[in-house]
Amino acid sequence: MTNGSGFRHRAIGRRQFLGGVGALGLTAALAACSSPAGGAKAGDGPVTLTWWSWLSNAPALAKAYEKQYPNVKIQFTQVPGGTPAYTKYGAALRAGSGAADVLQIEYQELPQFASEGHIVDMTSYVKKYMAGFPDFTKRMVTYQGKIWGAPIDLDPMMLLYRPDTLQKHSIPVPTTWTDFASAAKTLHEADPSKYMTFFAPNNGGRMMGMLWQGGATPFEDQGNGTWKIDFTSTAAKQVMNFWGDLIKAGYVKVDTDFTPAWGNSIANGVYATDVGAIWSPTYEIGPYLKKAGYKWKAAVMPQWDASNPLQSMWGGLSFAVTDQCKNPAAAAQFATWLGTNKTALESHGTAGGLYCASKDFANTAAFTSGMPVLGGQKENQLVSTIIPTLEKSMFQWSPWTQYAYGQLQAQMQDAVTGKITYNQALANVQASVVQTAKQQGYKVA
Amino acid sequence: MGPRSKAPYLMVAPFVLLFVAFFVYPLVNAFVLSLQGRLAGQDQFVGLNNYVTALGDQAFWGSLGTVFAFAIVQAVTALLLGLVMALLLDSSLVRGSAFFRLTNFMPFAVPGVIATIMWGFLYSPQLNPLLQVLAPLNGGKQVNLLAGGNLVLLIANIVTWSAAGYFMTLYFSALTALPREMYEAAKLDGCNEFQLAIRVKVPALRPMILFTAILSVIGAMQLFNEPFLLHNLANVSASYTPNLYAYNQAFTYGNLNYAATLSFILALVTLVVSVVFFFVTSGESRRERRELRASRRASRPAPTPAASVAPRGV
Repeated sequence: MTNGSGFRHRAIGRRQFLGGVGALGLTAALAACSSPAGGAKAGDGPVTLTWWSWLSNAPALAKAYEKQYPNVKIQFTQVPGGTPAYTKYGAALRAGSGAADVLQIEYQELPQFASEGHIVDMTSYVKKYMAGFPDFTKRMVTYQGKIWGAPIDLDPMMLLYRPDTLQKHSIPVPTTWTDFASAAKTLHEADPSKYMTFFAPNNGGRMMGMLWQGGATPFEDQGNGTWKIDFTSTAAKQVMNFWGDLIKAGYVKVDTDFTPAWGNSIANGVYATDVGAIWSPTYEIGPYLKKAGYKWKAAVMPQWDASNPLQSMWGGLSFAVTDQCKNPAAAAQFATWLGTNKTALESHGTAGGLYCASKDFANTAAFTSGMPVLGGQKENQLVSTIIPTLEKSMFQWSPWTQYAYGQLQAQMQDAVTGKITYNQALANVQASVVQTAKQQGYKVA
Repeated sequence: MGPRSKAPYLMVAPFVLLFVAFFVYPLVNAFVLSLQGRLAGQDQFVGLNNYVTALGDQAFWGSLGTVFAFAIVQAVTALLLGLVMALLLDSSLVRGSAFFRLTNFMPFAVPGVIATIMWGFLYSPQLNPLLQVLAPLNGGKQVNLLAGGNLVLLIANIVTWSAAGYFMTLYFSALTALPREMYEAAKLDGCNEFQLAIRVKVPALRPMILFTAILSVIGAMQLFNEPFLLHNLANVSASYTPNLYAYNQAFTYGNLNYAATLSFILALVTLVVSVVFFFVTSGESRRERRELRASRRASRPAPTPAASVAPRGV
C-alpha cells in the first residue's frame, strides 16, 4: 500500500523523525482545535467533506473529485503516516469532536476503530461496489459481518533484491526459505561485510507479515465475542526460529528499520535482499537510493513449502467514515470513489505507487508501467501473478493489532539479544495478547 | 469586618479555581476512569479489576525497573557533575567563572525535545563522524550506539547533559549565600581549597543536594520525552517507561481505563519513593538540627551558618 503501511513504531529518516516530533505537540493540541466536521446537510446545497490522509497524491484526488462532483468540497489535511496518524485519530474520535469525516485507515486497524464504535458501518454504501473487488479484499474490510472501510489496495509482501550482489557470488534468487538460508551463509562467508538481509525487531507490521506468510493465523473471530488467539502455532515457531538461527549464525543482521543508520546500509548495499512489500521500492528502499543505486529488483516471496505456496500482506489501506460525520452518505460515496474510479486508480498506481485492489486496475496504464527504482521492472504485473494465492488466505485482523505489534516488538527484541528463546518470545506474546483481549471483555477460546 | 474577611478568599480564588480545574478534577476523573473497563465496546464499572491486572503486568513492573535503573545512573552522575562544577567555579582556582557558569548552564536552556533529537543524531554512526573514527577500534565494524541494549545509558547521558548545568547553578547560588567569614575562618584553621570544598561547602550544601536528588528521582519516574523520540531511531519498546506505557495504552491501544490505572499507580509509587527517599536522606540532618537547637538553648545564642543557609521546608 503506501507510506503508512507498516510504518508503526518507526519513521523514515531525518525528515520523518522531525515530523514525528511535531506530532508530539500536535496530539496535545488536538482536543482543543476542532475542525468544522461534517458541513452542510445532504440536499441541494453544497456539501463539504473533511478528509485526513497521508497519500502523496491526495490533493490531486480531491481536485479530481470536486471536478466530477461540483457540489462537493473536499477539505484535505495531510497527516503523518502510520502510528502517529492513528494516535491523532484516536484522540479526536474519543474526544467526540475534531475528527475529519473521512479517514485513511489500514486494514489491520479497522477492527480496533470499529470495535470502539467511532467509525460507521459502511455496508449499505459500499456493498454494491464489492463485486468489483476480489473476495479477499472484502474480508479485509469486514469485521463482525459489517464493512467498515472502502478498500483501496493490496500490499503483498515481496522479496526485493540486489541482482549484482547475488550474481557476484553466483547465488540464484531464492524461491524457498531453505535456499534463502543457504544463500545467506554463502554470501556472508564470501563477503563478511554483506548480509543476505536484516531482521528488524522494531517493526511489528513486517514481523506479522512474515508470520502470516508462514501460514500462521494469530487471530480468528469465532463469533459471539469469542476469539481464538494463536501465536504459538507450529507455523509461527518455524518462522521465528528460522530468523533466529540466521541471526545467531551471523548471516542476518539485526537492525532497526527506517532509521538513518539502516537507510545507509540499504544505500551502501550491505543488504542483498529486503523482505518487504510491493510498496518497498517507493517507500522503503527508494528514498535512500541515489539514481546510481537503482539496482534493485522485485521477486515473489520465497516459500516454506514450494508445493503449497503462501502469500501475505504488509499494509493495505481503506477509507473509513467517522461517527462525527454529518453526511455519511456523501462521505461514503467519496471514500468508495477513491478505490473504484478509474482516474483515482490511475493516480494511485502512478503517483502513489499502489497496487489497487479493484479489478479495474488491470485496465489502467499504471498497471503496466515500469518502476524506476527497479530499473523499469513491471512490478504490478509480477504482483498480479501472486494475487490468486494471496486471496486464498484466511488471515484475519483483530481489535488488538496494535497491541500485538507492540508485544511482538518487545519480545523479539529480547529474543534477538538472547535473553529468551524465540519460542518463549512467542509464548509471551500469546499470554499478553490473550490477557488484553480478556481485559476488554472478549472471550478467548 | 465583612469585606476584610472576604479578601483573602478572593486572593486565593484564582489559584484554587485553576488548581481544581486542572489538577483535582482531572485527578478525580482519571480515578473514576481507572475503575471502569471498556467491555465489548461499553464502559462498565469493574471495581479494582484494572489495578489487579496492573499488579500482575510484567510490562509495567519492567518499565518501573527501567526508570529505577535510570534514576540511579542519572541522579548520581548529574548530581556529582553539577557539584564538582559548582565547587570548582566557587573556588579561587578558576578564572572566568561567569563565562563557565553560563556555558555550563546552556544545555539546560536547550529544550529537552531538541536535545534528544540532537543526541539521537550524535548516536547514529552515519551522522556522527566521531563514531566512524572509532570504527577501527571496534574491529572495523561500525559503532552503532543505538543498536545495543544500552538505551538506559544513552538516555541518562542526554538528561545528565541537560540537568548537570542546572544543578550546578542551584549549588552555586547556594554557595554564594554562604558567609565568606566562614571560609576565612576555615582557612585560618589551615584548610586548603580542597578541604574547604569537602569539609565546609559540601556539608553546607546538603539541603540543596537533597532537593536536587528528589527532583532527579521524580523526573526519572516520569521519563517520557526521550524514549518517545528515540523510538524513531532505535527499538524502544512501547512499555519502556511507565509513562510511555500509559501513553501507548491510551492512544495506541485505545485503552484509556488501563492507562488511567497505570498513571495512578505510577503517581503513588513516585510519592512513596520521594517520601522514603526524603526521610532516609534527611534523617541525619534533622537529628543535627535538633541537637543544634538543644545546644543553642543550653548555651548562649550564636548564629550558626549551617542553619541560616538551609532553605525552609527542606
